[in-house]
Amino acid sequence: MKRALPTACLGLLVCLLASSCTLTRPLQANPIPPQARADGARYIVVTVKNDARAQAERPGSTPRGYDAAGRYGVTASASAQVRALERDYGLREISAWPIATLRVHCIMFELPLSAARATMIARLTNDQRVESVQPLNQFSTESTPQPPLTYNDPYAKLQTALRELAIEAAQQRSRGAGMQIAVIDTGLDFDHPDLKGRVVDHHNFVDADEATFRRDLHGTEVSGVIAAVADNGIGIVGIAPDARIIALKACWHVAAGPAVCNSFTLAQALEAAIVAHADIVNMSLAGPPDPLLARLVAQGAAQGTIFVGAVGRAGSGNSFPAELDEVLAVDCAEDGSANPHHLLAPGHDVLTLVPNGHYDFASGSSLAAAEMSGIVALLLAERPHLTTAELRDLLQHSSRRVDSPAGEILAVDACRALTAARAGGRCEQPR
Amino acid sequence: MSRSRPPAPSYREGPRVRVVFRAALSVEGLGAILHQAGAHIIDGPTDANVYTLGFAGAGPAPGVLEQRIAALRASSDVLFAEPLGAGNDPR
Repeated sequence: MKRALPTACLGLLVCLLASSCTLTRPLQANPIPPQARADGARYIVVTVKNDARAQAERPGSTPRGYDAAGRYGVTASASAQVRALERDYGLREISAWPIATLRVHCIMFELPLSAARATMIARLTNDQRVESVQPLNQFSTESTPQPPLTYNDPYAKLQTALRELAIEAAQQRSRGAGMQIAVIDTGLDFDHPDLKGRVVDHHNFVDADEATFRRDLHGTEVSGVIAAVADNGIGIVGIAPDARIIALKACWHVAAGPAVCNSFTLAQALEAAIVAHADIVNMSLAGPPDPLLARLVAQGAAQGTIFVGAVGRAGSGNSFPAELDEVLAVDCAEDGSANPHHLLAPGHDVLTLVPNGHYDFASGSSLAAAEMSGIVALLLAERPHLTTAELRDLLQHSSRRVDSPAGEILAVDACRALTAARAGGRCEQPR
Repeated sequence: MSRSRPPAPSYREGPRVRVVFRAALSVEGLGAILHQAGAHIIDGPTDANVYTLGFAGAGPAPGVLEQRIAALRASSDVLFAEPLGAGNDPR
């Protein structure tokens, strides 16, 4: 039985194949033809004994420097054996080089068309002239290629939050498929081309005005951030573009200022979300503490639903339901919340959907909460049984400082959170 | 509802357009685009370089507005151009 070809020979062959080794002097081998690099199945690697002595570069010269030991050459005996092997087995030398360390001559042979590689190796193994023989094995580097995600959505480059939250990298692992997110908000434009197929159900707990439902701004903005269709050639990319939305209208726009809701409409919407077994409930709203709503949130959380809430305006005193333990509280990263329990995401100039197929920039913790709901969907799609406490811990520990149009901000990193949730893998930003 | 506010417009009347220009656009280039669209800046830029444009007087009629937006989008120096007030917009 012949010895396996030594590791050193393999290593250098890999270097040749990968063209990634920096050598202090060129190898004494011919270039490897493209077909051998593309498909090594028709090639074998053979060594024959080569007892050449190291000699000076030229007779009479004084060896010095790196070449002081002289070049290791190929003996006439080794060359003759190679020619004999070619003749006897129909082989064709592709490349060769003498391995000084092993005192062998190493040859890559191309097999004759009629020969099976395994058969040829078996025959050569029994040939006394052959020191070792093996297949030309293929190796690969151990970094996983990360093709850049090049969204074809024309406004994606203006979505700075995608970079700040590491969404592109995260979406290489998860896009929130299978997740249902109940958006308790105003109505929304479920016919918006960038929400096509994303809104699977809708209910109106305010009135029976379907036309107004579709023209409502705030719910459209929030839903667009969460689930706008990716790579459809229009508009923007949602944080969780494969998630589905259940639109629950509990709030309505008034002549000026923010939209409003009340205990009664919100309770109905919460109940509907719980009955629908929504994975996530997004509440981009804030008000005073409300016992009935708190009981419903507790019931939903016990059932496994994850609640995400927007932190209210500073000084408003309205921080319900975000203040509940069962709710992931989210604030604008640009505002630099001092509350260590708040999760932070970009909330200024967030590009999103508006009714009638249009787009606009909007600001506020409503948008930051929507981003967080999308990130939670990415995580739950991979680890469905994560609890609210586990999610809060994962997201807080993933947070990092990033540059934004408003300056440096601290924000969660979706890709790092995903990596931690899966206890492995790497997180690489698309180039 | 919690906070959700757009870049504050200065004018309530007349059509408005939200625009993002290419960052390297010169002042002269910006002026030429505005002149061609018959528009003027009424707000911006925000941190994200977002502008709000208005139109002189009562502004163009709806069909004309769409043409002017199309002209803005046709410029390689305009990255984003969208009309405002498309829905139940309390802004």
